Amino acid sequence: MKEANVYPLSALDGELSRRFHDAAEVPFDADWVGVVRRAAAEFAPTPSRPRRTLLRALATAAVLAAVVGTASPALGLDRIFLDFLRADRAPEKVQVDFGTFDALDPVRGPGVATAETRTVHTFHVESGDYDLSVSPANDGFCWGFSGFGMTCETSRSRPIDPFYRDIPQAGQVAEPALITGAVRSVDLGRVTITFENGDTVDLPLVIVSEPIGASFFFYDVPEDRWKLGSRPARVAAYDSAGVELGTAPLMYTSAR
Amino acid sequence: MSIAAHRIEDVYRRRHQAFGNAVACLTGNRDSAVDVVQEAFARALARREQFRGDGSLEAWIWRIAIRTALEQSGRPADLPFEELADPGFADPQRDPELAAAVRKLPPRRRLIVFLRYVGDLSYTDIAHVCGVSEGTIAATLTQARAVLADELGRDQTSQTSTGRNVR
Repeated sequence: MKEANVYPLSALDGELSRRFHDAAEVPFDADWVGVVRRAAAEFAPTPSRPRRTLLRALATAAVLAAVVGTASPALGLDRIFLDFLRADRAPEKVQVDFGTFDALDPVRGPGVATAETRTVHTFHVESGDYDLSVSPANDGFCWGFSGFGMTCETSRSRPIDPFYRDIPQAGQVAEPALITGAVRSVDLGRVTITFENGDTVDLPLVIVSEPIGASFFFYDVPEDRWKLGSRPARVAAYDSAGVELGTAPLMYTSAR
Repeated sequence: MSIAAHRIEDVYRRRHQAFGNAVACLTGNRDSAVDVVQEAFARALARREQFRGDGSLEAWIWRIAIRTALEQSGRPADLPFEELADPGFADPQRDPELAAAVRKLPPRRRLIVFLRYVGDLSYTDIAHVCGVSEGTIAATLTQARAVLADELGRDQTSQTSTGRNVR
């Protein structure tokens, strides 16, 4: 390792450092979300910059094409990496929905940057299409799926805390049984669901870059997995070395 | 070389105050300093693919910040900024003696002094920011200290010791 140069240091340095600091200090409260908001605006499409919009779309397409090209052959498309700053801004209704987190609790709310809410990906599954939207917040981020719900992950969140819909009871109008979640890591090895009969399945992951910095999973529980004894029992996340980062049980209000 | 956004966030959280203080000296405007720093970090975050890694990340962001400050001051940003900046304390009345002493330095030397004593930059980072050698920075600061010591009525030679001040 290169040795750092040594320069004479005088007592005058100490005095200068102190006096310069005192004379120059400006009030400045950190506002990282504000920085992110401005950075996101760099990529915001405007009528006066159609070419930029086109370039952004092409860049996104290139990323997706590259990912498709390197997907695991065993599972098809098992993970997608997405740059948050290049994702499309979410529809206004979604932004408003995300704003309710703070509207309901202005003091302890997460401080969602609602205007920067992005719809980053659409999951196409058996029961329909679900748009994943995410938004940075002062503490963590908020996320949700269209037609399903939304939640927030903060520094106090558990490593993995699935957000899921109960298995429909027999005789009910069957709404899709969905299991979703976010893990605050972009370097996950895998997320698995273990069923009551011991079977396991690896879930595809959508990994969203900073300022979100998280991996999202989505599982549409097939009807043959709705019966007691074969239902999803727990979800677990593992890092790239195979170490379990967290696990959470899945519980249901009734047996089908 | 592309860097992760969280590294920029780390620099921001540790150093935003130093950036704000130094930018206020570059623009002479305390009110706009925070805005300049916010804009500079936003540009760094949005264009992080452009960081080549030939200096520290922080030095790269400092260059962006200084360019942004000059832009917002209405100065041309496409010329070497060390030739353009005319830094000074935004509020000289806080320490009139020091403000007057600093004014005795030529603008380029003043810029380096502010980066060192307000921005707390290492010699290495100042060299990267200004695009000159580390030795040039050391020599410039030695000369600047001599002027400031003289203006402030300090005897610099009697106080000299040896220390490592490159972070």
